[in-house]
Amino acid sequence: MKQLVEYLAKSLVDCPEAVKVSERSGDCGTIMELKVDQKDLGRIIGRQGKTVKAIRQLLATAAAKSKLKVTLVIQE
Amino acid sequence: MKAEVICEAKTIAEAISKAIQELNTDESNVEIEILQEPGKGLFGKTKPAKVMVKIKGNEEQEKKPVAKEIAIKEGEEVLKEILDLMGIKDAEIKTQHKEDEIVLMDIKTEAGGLIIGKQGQTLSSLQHLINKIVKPKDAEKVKYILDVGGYRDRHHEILENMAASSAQKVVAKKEKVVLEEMNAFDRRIIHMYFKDNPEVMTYSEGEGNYKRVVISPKNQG
Repeated sequence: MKQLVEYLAKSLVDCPEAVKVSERSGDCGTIMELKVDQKDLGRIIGRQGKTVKAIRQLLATAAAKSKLKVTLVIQE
Repeated sequence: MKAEVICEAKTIAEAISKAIQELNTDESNVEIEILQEPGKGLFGKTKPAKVMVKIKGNEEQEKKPVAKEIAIKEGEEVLKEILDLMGIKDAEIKTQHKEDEIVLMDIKTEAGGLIIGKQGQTLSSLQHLINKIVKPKDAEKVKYILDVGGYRDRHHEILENMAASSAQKVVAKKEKVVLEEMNAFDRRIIHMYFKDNPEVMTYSEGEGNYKRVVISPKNQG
């Protein structure tokens, strides 16, 4: 799951080397934290949040497959 | 080799055969455009027949295929990678080039329902990301459209059937019917379906990406 977010984020941004993904467990399931270069935030979020929504959707689908719940948080 | 020539002759047929000879090809291989019909011009001068003859699909053969192949290959690779990372390992991708800028990728997998998601949301997310990620350098802009085992066609049919039966209700009761929330693509299918319908009209209601289509009787507002 972590690799999925990492792959998507790295493919979307201009500086893939700044992409960092970390996992921690939260109150309801896993919390995945994504960090990207300040300039790339727009790329990750997309117009009206469309891109980040799509990432969350795929993440949720992948998580559901193994009966998990994962929340994606973008760190600024 | 020349790709197109313009030839003049007394008749159109002569001009065409002259052009084909010049291109060193045969008639099945060319596109013909008549630029000028033969006839009498001003002051009794005769106008010759003028045609432009092009070798078919020539532009594509010269520059596009490389770019297209890159676009197809990169699209397939990215899609495969994402599916793999999502834990879907059995996916087979059949790619088809539809119109000029459209690459249709059909995914075949046991986990079809999972990829489609509720109201096709997962599928459209996947499609959105592929379109954001794949930007082949030399290729002109292409749009990737994803499908899962012909889901889109089936879905299209289901939407139209649903719309048709709702419209019957609208006509019978002379009351509008509000459909469930749908994305722009699906709404368009319904709007198009009723475009020329004399009895009902459609419009969208609501905010954001997911609006509702309203089917209402005509002449009633």
